[in-house]
Amino acid sequence: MDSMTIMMITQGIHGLAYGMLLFLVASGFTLIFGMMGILNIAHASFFMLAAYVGFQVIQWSGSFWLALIVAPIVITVVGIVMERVMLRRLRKFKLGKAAVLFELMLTVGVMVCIEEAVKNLWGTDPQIVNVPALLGGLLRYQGMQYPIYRMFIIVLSCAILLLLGLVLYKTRLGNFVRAAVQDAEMTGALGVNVPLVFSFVFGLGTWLAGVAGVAAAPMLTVFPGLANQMMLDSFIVVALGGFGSLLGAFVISMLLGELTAFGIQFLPGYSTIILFGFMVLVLTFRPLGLFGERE
Amino acid sequence: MKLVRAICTSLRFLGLVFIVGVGLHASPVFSFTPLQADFSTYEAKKQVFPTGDTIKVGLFEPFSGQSASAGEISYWLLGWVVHDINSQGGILVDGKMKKIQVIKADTATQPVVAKRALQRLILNDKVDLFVGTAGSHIAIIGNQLAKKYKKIFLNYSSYSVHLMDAQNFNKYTFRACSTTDINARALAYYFSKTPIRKFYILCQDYSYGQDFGKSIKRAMDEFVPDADIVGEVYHPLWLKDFAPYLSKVQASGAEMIISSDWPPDSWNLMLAMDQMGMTIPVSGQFFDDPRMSQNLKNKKAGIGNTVVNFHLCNVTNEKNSRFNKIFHDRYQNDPEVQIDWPTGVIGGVIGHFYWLFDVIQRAGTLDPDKIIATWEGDTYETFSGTLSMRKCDHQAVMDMFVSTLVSPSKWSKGGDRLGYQDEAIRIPSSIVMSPCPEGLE
Amino acid sequence: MKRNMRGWLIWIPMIGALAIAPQVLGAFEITIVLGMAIFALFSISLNLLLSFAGLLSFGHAMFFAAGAYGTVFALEYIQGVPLLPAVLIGALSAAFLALALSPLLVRASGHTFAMLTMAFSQIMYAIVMKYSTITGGNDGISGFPIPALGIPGIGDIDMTMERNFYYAAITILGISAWVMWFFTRTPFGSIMISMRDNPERVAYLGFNVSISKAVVLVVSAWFAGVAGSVYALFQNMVSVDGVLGPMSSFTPLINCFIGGLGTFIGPVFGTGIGTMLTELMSAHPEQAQLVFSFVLILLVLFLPGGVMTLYWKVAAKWMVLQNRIQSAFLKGNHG
Repeated sequence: MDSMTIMMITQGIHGLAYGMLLFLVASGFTLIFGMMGILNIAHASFFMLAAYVGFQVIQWSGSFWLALIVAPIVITVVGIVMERVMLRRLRKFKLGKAAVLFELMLTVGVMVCIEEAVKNLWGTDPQIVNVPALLGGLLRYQGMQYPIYRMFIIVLSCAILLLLGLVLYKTRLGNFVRAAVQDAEMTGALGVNVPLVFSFVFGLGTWLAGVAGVAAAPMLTVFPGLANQMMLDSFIVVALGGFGSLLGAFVISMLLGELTAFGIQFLPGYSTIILFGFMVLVLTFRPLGLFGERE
Repeated sequence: MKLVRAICTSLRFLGLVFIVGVGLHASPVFSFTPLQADFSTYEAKKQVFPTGDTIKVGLFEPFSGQSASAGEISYWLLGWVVHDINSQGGILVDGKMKKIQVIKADTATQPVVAKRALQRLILNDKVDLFVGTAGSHIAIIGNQLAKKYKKIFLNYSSYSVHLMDAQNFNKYTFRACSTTDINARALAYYFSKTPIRKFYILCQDYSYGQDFGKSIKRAMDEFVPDADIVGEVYHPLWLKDFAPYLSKVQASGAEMIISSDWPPDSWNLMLAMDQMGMTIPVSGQFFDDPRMSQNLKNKKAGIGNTVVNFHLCNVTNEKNSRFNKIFHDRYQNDPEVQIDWPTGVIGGVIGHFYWLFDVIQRAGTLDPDKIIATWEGDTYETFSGTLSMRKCDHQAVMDMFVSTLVSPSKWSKGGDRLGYQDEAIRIPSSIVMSPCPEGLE
Repeated sequence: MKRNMRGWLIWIPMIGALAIAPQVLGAFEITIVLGMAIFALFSISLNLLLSFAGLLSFGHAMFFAAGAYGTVFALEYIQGVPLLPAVLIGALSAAFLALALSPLLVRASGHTFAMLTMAFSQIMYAIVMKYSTITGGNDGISGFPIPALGIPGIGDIDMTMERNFYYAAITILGISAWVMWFFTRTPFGSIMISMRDNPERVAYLGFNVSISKAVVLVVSAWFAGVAGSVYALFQNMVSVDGVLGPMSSFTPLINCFIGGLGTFIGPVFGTGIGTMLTELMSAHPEQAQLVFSFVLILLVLFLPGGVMTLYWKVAAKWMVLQNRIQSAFLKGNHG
């Protein structure tokens, strides 16, 4: 293959890898919003926290695979604690319309808290997480070579996507979740324990961010600013894809990943402007997002 | 009679010689000589400085944020020199022996934070002078406040050529390190003697990176007219994912990447190349970092990287060998420090600090105007060569050294890893220095 | 009347303290006070949107930035521009930005408004970075000349003197804060509050909700612009991370919440607490932010009204006490 084709394919896969990671984060973000009406600003911070916890587990045990299992569970626990202890308490205040403000501020507080806690615990230096030995090599095909690890990220995300689909669309629990996303009050009236479903979804969302965090650690270095870009990108995904829409999140994540990769190739510096401009247009003229169904 | 008188005179003369000799000999009691202290007791992280009537030196560096490691390294190196001088009794200034006290100011590599921190350093901590700093956009603040508060500012690690141009020059600021122009000219001159012709410029998207991009293009035009610059890209500071940029480089068919990136970007660039199986060498100032190379998995990664600096540890002369030995003896078995040879930036910065304190010692005062008078036109022997301070723009004049990385190298940990080639190539100051900037004399 | 008196009870000591600050404090402490005053004004302007119009902005920093860049460009490119017009240009550019964006922003509320403002500030960030040859990008623009303040009849006052600049800046900031306070007391201010609580009813009463929202937005942006402009002069520098960085829109929000929503003076207390915390822990800046975030979380959870609630609680107790003393006194008289 000539170098142009190789470049196009490689950039395409780079975009896919980042898009998939982004989807893992944004899907949790959009589920939580769709269901509970909470825009969890701290969501990307869970992603970063997972990367650090993963790094620590690797430091202690030397095993990436253990980190990939343990760190997301730790993050899920943190997430569920946040939901049960903080957000639920806030719901009791009966703040009416102002509730949105307080929920948002609470998540802002958690975001700052996680970022500063990370700086205090691990310092501000970038931490290097090595690619596990099993996935260290390169995939070669007709003069093209591509790191296996990035392929692994894509495969892992696809597997999780499949799992997520199965849980949401093929199980009873999934039915409850989808019903609660549509109309929490009505679902509650039908005898479903909605607070429990809320906790489940919050836990699921943070678990997804956690997996993404550990998977991203060897690809992006682990440092305290890791959450910033991810937060902005998942905002774009959720606003464009539609609040609560998994399909929308998937499509926009892929698009954003590709635009970032090819933007660097062809239009360095403009991709952010294009993306946010597009987000403004969609929010103004189609506040539900491209794939959204309800407010 | 005549004979007696002659004998008397000559005796008197001899006496005078004797007195002068004793005086000269005795003068080291009140002054320091580099590398006299016992460094085995020096621990960078456990430094304690004297307080009270001291020479207060502000260290204006990032201690938080993504470049925090740059600040920690400077603290380590400044501490090395201060440890050396303080253990020799300090410096005689204004008729009194004073020890040196270092006070940190955290820039976080952000202009606004840096400005506040520096104001605190000057107004609140009342430092006598300050030194720094990583990031040319931060150094410019140092320039401005040095001028405003009339404090000496030694710049030893900001290379943007425009920092000392007619607009930004002030008499309180001295730059002891090289510039983007000097580095670029040294590299281009070196490449003109090699067969490499296809270059890719990959720099950080702020003043220093852009300055370096311009410098290297000018230098290439001058020294390597047949060079083919196949591409040029500027990435944000502290980039997370270099992969899309590297695919772009790969598609261009470049033989050599020229990059002004500094840690952590320089590390991440090398790590990403390693992950992607790319072996295109990178040239610049910061691609010899042992902390980066020990994380490379690919055996071929980093080989051919070309490093440019005014100091390298493979410059062979007696002074440098002694320095290398003392440094290596101290750090070869230190688990906390992965840098066991005084590589380009490390050894260079130590040299700059010795120069600063030597100037203060010779000025014999902390009065900024007298320090300026001593420093302007001054010449100082560092470990690798001679530095002299140009009066017109307070820019140090220096010979440069270029070295490629090989593996195994005797200049690596254990002697069997990536490190410098055996001996550096000297490029004289007459080639690398550009004339005084317009508007300054 | 009594209410007004109480208002003055807060204003007068504050003005007094700010007026004598340079006589008592050292050069470095003055910069802290001035920095705090600038961010207090910025927070008040945000609070105008938040507490009085019920709009949560995640991108208020863009107006602060517009003010800062506007003033800096004026000083860089207009030869011999005097100080006050330069500040005015900053404020105007922020107001114009708000006016230009208002057709898109007034339609939104709640989350959508928050995300739209965030998107706009990100676009501004990207533009500033992209056109770094003009804006300075990461490096910023610094060292621009600060013109003297010309007062007719008195002459030129040198603004490079810290103390002079302090008084000029504090006066500008103080007048701005007072104008905003006055604005909330006008009939329009009352409409604004009812608009927040019940937009349908306000529309029914014959007021145009969209236009009213736009007016609030522009006023709020104007004063954020003033704060930004004074900030640029104070720092003698503008850089993208200082005015548009990741936390620059969140910090004033946090100040508002810590101080207390629904009050005018709350953000000032919030800013004061934040600054004090940072200064007290200046040796450990990282931990200061951590403590700050804890304070925010605890406040939202346990004292949603912010620090001002405490003040009210104390004030209410005081009133009760006062009444008791009074009645006791009266009883005594009768006896």
